[in-house]
Amino acid sequence: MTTDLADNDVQEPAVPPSPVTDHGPSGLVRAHLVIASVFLVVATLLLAAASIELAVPGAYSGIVLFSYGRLVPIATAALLYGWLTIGLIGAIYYILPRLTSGPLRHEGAALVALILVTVGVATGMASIYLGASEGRAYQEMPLWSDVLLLAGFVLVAWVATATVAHRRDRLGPAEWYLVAATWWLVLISVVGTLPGVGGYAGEIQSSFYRAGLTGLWFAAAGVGVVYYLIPRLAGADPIQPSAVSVLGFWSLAFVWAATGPRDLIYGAGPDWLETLGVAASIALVVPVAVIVTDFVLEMRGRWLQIPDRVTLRFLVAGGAMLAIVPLADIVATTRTSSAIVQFTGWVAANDALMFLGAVSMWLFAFAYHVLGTGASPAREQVATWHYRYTMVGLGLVLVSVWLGAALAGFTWASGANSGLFVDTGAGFFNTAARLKPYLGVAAIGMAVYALAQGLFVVGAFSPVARSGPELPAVDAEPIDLEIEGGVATVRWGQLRWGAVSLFLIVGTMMWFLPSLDPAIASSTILADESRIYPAGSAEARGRAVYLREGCAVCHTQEVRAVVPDVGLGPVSVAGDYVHEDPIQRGYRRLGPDLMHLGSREGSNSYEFLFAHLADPRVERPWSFMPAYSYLSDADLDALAVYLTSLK
Amino acid sequence: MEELIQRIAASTGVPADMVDRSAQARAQALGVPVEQVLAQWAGEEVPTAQAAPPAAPAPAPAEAPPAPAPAAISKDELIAKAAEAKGMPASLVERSAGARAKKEGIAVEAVLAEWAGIELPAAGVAPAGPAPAPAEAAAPGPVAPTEAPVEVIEPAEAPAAEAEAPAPEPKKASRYPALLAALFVIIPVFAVVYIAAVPNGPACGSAGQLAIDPVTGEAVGCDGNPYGQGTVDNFTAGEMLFAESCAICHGNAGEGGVGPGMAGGAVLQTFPEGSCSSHVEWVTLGSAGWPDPTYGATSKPVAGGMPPFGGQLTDQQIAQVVLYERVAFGGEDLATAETDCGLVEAAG
Repeated sequence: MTTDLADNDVQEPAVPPSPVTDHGPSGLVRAHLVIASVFLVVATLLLAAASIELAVPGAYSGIVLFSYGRLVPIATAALLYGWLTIGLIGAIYYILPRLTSGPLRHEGAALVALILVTVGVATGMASIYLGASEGRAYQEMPLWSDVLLLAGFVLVAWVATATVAHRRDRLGPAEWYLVAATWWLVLISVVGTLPGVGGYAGEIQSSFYRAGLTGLWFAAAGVGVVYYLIPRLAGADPIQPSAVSVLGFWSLAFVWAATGPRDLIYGAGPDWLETLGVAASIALVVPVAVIVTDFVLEMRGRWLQIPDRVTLRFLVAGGAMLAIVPLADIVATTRTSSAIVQFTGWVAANDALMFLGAVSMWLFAFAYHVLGTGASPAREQVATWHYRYTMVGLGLVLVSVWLGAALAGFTWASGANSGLFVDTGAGFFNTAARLKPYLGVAAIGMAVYALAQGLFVVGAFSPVARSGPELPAVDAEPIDLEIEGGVATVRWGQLRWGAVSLFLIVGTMMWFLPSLDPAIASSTILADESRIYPAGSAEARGRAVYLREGCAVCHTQEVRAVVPDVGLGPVSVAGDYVHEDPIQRGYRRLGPDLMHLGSREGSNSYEFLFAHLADPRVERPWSFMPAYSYLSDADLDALAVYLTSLK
Repeated sequence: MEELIQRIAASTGVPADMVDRSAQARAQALGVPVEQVLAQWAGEEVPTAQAAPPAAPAPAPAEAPPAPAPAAISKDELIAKAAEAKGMPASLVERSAGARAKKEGIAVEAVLAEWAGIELPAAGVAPAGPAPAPAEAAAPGPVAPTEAPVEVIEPAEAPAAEAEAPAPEPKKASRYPALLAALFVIIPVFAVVYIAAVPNGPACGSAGQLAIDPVTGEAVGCDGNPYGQGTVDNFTAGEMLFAESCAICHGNAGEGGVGPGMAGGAVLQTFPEGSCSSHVEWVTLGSAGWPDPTYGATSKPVAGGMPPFGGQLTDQQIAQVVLYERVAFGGEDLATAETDCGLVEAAG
């Protein structure tokens, strides 16, 4: 708290200042928002194109960019690293100086970081398009892009830390989350950038990376933004540090990355690790409950303001979505329900809830808040329609994908009983035909969502507002979130060491210890020798094509000991994967599992596969696989050879 | 507050509701209480920061040195007055006031003021007294810049809530619902219990888990047979057949009804272990087709109500329903019953 409140305002009682939200952002913050928005538009358009491809198979036959396996990783990179990450970094640059009553330190470094991250994401997307995919979910971008991003993130962490560093202690919840998130982003990115471990241990590493990125970066930074915004938007008193918010922070830190192994339920990894992932997913309820409770308490008595303020609408919608996240995740986590919904679209819908939903909603609120939507009624109107279309689009996507996932899961689970699943063709015919309407609704929803983002660009950046009433120049309004009190105070040093050591503990547990597990450690003895692909062999080239085309986006290579997988061949063990790096386990079955494709009657011949890849709908009219007619004959040949070798 | 608004409205000519609205917007943008903004517009000294936030667990008087607060009665003065009124040493007064304030969840100053018999300027507005450190909110003047921003304990932002919402509950504990505390206990306990209960995943047959054939490596039923065949299926099929054809007379849980009860081992008294074939024969023929006047090991008289199922169900189905009855109601071992009823071969 400084004195400028009195200095600026006391003298002008006659003209109460216009009810603008806040003074404008710096050029740096604005640049972040502009670049992030460009990525948002690109990402949502590509996602819409991908959804349409599922609903209208062969819609873009033969166009490389629109081949589903490339499209989805490119769109994901744009959404996660372009839109959300750059947007959140901009928010951090905006918020931290205001909370700590100091300037943003090292603005030059911040600018360099922005360039590094932007170039990193853009080259990463281009590389995937050009066929340099690394073939790990969320980590498809090649090494050089990862390195650029990591360098940028290090600078971001440095800037954020230096900005709050003069505050030796008593940081408030918003700063805890925002500063710790920048460090975690660096640490997580190191995990993601390190050349992967081979075999199943690499899959464990990947799952840890995904969960860490989701929780320790997107959720943590997003929550920091929310903790800053709610009091200002709702007109409530700032969220006070308390024993409860301390608990919320540390439980989020400890629990979220540890939920990673739930992706691997029923997989070839150690069972204890999966159990730990399930327990962490259950425990995730705690930090989310704290955050949502804080949210509700701040809003108490102010709910009626929501319809009047588009910023509040976005903020509250995002909060509601965050509240659903752990519940939706638990369905994908407990072994009983996981046996049904694993490899369906359930997890994709949960990701949409988190990324297109909660965190995006908060960023929208932030962007409108700092760009001063309220300054112009026309702009507020546009923003309101943006909100409506975004919610309708997202609602359609979520409901259709969740319902479709449940339908597919139960179809697979019952397919084994009825003998349908043994012939995967028939099993998937069954699923594919029944999923059609759901995929159609999802495509419509995603298209609506993508088009709504055009309104966002207009609403947030249109010149209408800049020509609107001049925003009063008010100095940075430091607002302190601290109160005095034993447990409520988090000392700077505690935060620093706690946040980093906690990450290392969780990381060791999730990532390093599993590779010592006998099941993984002894896997070389039980290794599947048929999966050694000598360099230069047709199989090795075919595997490279498999990675490049993103086949793992739609096909798994893992057979689990559960009912839906009966008839798919031997259950996968760690030894099956030991010679591969990265393994192509996959995470979603939009097409059949390919683990033992070469042993499968009816679809294991080279001729069938070659023709099927070139045009899937000749043999199987119900297929929604893209046609790989754009591949050279040599590539198709290698791919078919590789697939027949999967025994 | 109304009074303030009216005064500003009168002096500026701006309608009162607009003053109110813009003040709230201003307060929100600045993150300060509405009253503070209004007071400044009205050109008056801000009364001691009204409505302290829900007090911290310990208002920590030691760490909150009373900053110069020209407008309000400082805490030291309050302590002195209270000590005088109570006839106690000042340090003791301070300490006990702190304890009382903590217990009642109100500000120390409110307690002190009560003891000293003083009306606090803002006491009527909010249940809580001045914030733990009413320094700057009460002092529009410059604040010791040397100490800021590290050391100065900021006045916690007072809630701007009184205007539209009822005063927040003064007790800190009540900010969070008790349910949350329960959650903090239940969830971790549940997670730990879960880890302890199934460290290595569910047993075969639960949560969708299947067994793995050691030779082929394929997922198989828990009995080692290909999934969908073998005992699991026989038992389940028997259960469904029983519900369909038998439960109406013998009860859903075999408790009996028109027909005799089977539960609790009764069925095995009539058809003991090793006599599955008699059991099957009885179900197949029914009482009308039964050649003898009595049936079963206990020589029960043939009562006449049992219909013959030979024409309705196949031999295997009858064997399955018998298997179900013997295992579910008689408590016979599944594998034994299966062998006895000849279902192992039937499953191939």
